[in-house]
Amino acid sequence: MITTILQYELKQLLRKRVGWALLLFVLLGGGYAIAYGWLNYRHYRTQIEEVQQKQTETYAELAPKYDTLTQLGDQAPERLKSFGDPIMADFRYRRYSTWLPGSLSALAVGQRDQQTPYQRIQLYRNVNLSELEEINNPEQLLAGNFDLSFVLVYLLPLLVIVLGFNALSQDREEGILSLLKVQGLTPKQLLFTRVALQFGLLWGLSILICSIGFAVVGADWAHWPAWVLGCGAWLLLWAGLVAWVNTWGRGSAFNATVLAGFWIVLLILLPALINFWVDRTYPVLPRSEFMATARDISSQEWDRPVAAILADFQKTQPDLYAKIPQPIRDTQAIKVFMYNENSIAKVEQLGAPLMRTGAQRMGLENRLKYLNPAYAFNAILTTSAGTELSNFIDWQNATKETLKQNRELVYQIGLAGKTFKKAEFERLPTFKAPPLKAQVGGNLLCLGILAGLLWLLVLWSTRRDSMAI
Amino acid sequence: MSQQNQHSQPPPKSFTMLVKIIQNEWRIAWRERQLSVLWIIIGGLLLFATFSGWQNFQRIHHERAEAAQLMRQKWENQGDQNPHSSAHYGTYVYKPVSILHFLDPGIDKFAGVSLRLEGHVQHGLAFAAASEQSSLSRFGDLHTGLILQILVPLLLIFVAFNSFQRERSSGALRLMLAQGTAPRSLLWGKILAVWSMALALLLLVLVLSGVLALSQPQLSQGTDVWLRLLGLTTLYALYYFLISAMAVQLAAAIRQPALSLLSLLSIWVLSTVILPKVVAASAEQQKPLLGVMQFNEQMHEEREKGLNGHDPEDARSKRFERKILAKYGVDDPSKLPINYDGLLMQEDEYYGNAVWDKHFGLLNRDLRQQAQYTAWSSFVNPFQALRNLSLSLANADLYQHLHFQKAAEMYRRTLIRTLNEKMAYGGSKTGDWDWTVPEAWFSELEDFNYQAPAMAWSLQQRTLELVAIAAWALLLILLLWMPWWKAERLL
Repeated sequence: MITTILQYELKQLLRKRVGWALLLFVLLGGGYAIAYGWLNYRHYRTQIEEVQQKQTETYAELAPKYDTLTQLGDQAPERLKSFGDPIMADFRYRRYSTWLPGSLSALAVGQRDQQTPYQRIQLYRNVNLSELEEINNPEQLLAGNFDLSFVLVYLLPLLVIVLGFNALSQDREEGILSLLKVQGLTPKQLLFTRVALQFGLLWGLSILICSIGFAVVGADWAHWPAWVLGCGAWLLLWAGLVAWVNTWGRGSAFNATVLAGFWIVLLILLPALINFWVDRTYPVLPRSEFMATARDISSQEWDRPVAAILADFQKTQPDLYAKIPQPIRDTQAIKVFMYNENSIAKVEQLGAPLMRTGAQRMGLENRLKYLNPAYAFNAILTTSAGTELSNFIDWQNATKETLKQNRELVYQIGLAGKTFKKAEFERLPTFKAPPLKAQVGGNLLCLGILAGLLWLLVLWSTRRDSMAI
Repeated sequence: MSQQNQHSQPPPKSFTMLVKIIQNEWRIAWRERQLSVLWIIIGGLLLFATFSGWQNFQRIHHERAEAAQLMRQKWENQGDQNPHSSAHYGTYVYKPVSILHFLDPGIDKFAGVSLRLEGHVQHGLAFAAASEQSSLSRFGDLHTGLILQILVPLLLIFVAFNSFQRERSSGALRLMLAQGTAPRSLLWGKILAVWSMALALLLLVLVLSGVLALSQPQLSQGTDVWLRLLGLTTLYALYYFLISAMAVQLAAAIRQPALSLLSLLSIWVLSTVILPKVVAASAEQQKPLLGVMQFNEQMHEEREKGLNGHDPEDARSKRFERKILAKYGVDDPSKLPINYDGLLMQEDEYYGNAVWDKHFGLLNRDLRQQAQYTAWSSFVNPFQALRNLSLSLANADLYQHLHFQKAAEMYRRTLIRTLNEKMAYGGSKTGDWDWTVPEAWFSELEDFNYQAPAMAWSLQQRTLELVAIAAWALLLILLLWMPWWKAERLL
């Protein structure tokens, strides 16, 4: 019997003009989203590659100079000798830390368009003090991106609603339901079969679109299962909602109204309310005041007596301090390093509340994901694409680490009173991207649990309201 | 019933009929539990969002005002200082938040809010709040604008989609038409009834907004704020009329309520969720913007090598030196009665300003073209017109952002010029970098006092959207006068 219903329903679906129109709509929307995402990513990648190219060019320009400096030693001409100065070596070798998520980010732009994806690796640089802000049209940012993640998060549920809102009500309204009952078919069987078929078709469709997207943008297929399972869990949740509303035994218009209401609640109202909650609980601290105070810290630190700076440096960096050849001859020359390190340490201390607030915000958002399944699904897509704020923070932390390594190297050479030669130049650290941390498991579990609970509700509802159905 | 008869009805009777239809629609809507509950929920949400938006506005306003005050204090208390050191020290200015932020925060969290002003370098606005938020923020914030733009139209759709079906199935429609009610009066009645439900919500917001604005007289003084509030109310009222007229006409034309609802919901999703993103994405593709590194690099290069690429900084400096030496009739800068360094730095500033004008001019042209692209889409999608005009009236759009940026840059130019001129003519000599000016002199320099543009200026930037929304209103009214609205069509 189930096979007969499936075959019949499939035929009915194929005959429905609305069904074909929807398919076309999704394919067009998905196609446009993939094309837009790809063009957007290509533009972004070109910008990053131009910056990376500068680093390569600077290396190619400087490397021969350090070769000569090493070969000639003290005999090197004066103009080359300045290249041996640790501060100048660090300054001249233009290295950058760049945030370049993989090509999967073409399908889930996430927060990639809001961040400034470059940071110069240099002695005095501090991730927290970057004043560079990527050029954007804020009205475009407000409108958001039409990428594949948008299609999957927002439009896929609409298809579930449009296909399933009248899964039982239409037959009842047309008087067919009672005829079907006579033939031994229970409304529950009919509802479950229809919803299962629609779920299967839409999941298949989303797998197809995701696969096309992955193939077009050349994404890493290792993340494909996360996307496919995410789509499956998201669709299961919506199919559960559709089935549940159908068990209430009301008319098609009523079902459509309620399901549209659910769509608005889950995709607009709840995320907005939770966003509001997070914003009020942990408001984003104003960074501009921090910048101004940090600037004062640096100038105050510079104005302190050298002895006081040295004493602080000994306390905070005992390992580096131990490497300074004693007795210290030219305190003014090494003051620069110590002043820099002390300033950076103080600024980081000052910036700690900013970082803490960011972590607290993300923690709260994560805890509230059980109330906010749309965000959980979105997080699967964005974190696996490496475009979520958490991915950006990972990049910032890796940049911070590179900056620290860079400072340590320059200090070691500078404090020991040595100069840069080929070997030291080659040791200047360059940025290496951190491994991608995709937050898939927890979010999938969240969607799975919510979908499971909903389907339990459906089962309970079909038993309780079997007459109404 | 003939067309002639319909038109021959005396106006008072039509008016009475219209009022009765409106009353009846209100009564039905109130009796329908789901609708009245939905109306109350949206009304409650509006009050909550307006009130919490006001609190949020106050927090941001105080934060920025305090930050600006702190920077001024730092400026005034910098001690005796060399003017050029002071130019390097610089200052920060903050974009003031518009009082109507509580109704529509617009681009505020996506745009930089502070700008560092210093000599030699021109920065961009930095520290957009959204860059410190996860993608949850992209789902949207709960603010009055979101509810007015997205949820209220949806409520109108729910009210209107089966407004004819009820009377069709009960036979009341046939009865009303038989009793001489003109089909067009019926349509108008229903449209006005649906519209008035939205106006009631709008009135709620208007009254609360007025009370809140009055509670802060120092922020709401002048007519501009009130004109903008009035403008926003008129805009939303006009948009709700469009929604009501479209929803009722579609409900009249489509007999199946489910299909009518689906059609209206499809239009709603398309216009409020899909099209704005598609248009924004296309605009971005039409005019892709440079990355900030490339942009700064180009400016830096042109400042060094010259705007035409063949006038390097060194050559320009030498030329300028010759000119000044000739003017004072000496052969070396050290013999000048003034401080040549100050003059040279100001000359470099002038050049830097020309570079800024060129590059920011090009960037702003691209941004404006992107905005124009979205503006044209208002002729296809009235929601786009509503959104853009709402941003504009709340003083929270791209144009106002660019206006602030320009004002801040003009202030920077005046400030740095004053410092350089003090260095040049204040009594020091060339090379005298340790020369200082008393602290009191810095306090006398005027603080940055940004004057936001008036409403007329804001609307001038949005002429296309104004024309588009007016055209939509005319079109929908015109559709109501089309001959196809006959009794048979409604039955």
